[in-house]
Amino acid sequence: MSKTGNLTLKIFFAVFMNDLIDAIAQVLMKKGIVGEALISWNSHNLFSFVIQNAVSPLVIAGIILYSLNFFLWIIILTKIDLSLAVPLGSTTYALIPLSAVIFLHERISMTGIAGILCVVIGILILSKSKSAISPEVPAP
Amino acid sequence: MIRTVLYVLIAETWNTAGQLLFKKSAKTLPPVSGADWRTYGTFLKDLLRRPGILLGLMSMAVGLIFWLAALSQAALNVVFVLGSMQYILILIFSRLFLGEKIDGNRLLGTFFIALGIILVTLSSSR
Repeated sequence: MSKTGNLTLKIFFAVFMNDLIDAIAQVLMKKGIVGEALISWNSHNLFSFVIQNAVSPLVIAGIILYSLNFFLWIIILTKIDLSLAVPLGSTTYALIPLSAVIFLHERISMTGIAGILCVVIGILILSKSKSAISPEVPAP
Repeated sequence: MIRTVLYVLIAETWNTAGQLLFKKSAKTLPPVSGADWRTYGTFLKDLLRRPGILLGLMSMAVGLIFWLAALSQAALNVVFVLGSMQYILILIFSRLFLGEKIDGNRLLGTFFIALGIILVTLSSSR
């Protein structure tokens, strides 16, 4: 029903937001995890671990963000090819260190700079990739 | 090391299968756009009725188990670098099962992003 088109700035922004929200949700969950770490796995301590964390507000916030993000990801997939969405969906690996350098004046190694440059070049090249408009797929 | 590579390969194969199922389902969903919130509501209801979405989530859960198995054996940055094999799997599977056209730009762009992520991962491990 939906046609897959080329990458626009709007869709790129959606993909970037999706990736960023994922990172925020992970930080929230990491901060929100309470109780003892799960070192050995047995049914008793796994149960208490789940119960303890199911009431942690930060963990709940993380789970809600994850669910909303999944919804956004499916919307993205209705608009662009999978082989375009997946590589773009990992650009925070470069864009977060880049913003740390620009806004927080963090130091960065030459390897890091080379990596960030590669990702930015990769995004620019991907934006030139043409999507074949897929034929109409009948709904099941 | 061989075992870690194998675990990551299995994990990424399940992940990629999950993404394929999501994309297959997404193709049958009506497009949404704009600020009309009701269309998002129907979209969500439509989405939850697609078996591909549930199967995709289950496939990713299996992938996560193998990913954790890999993490229990090797350092995080090693597993992350190995994880970039996902990009190759996505390119192959999207072409084979979704009929996506992989032009030179898509191949080259994906290569640069994967290389960049590997370099950033390596630089942050010191």
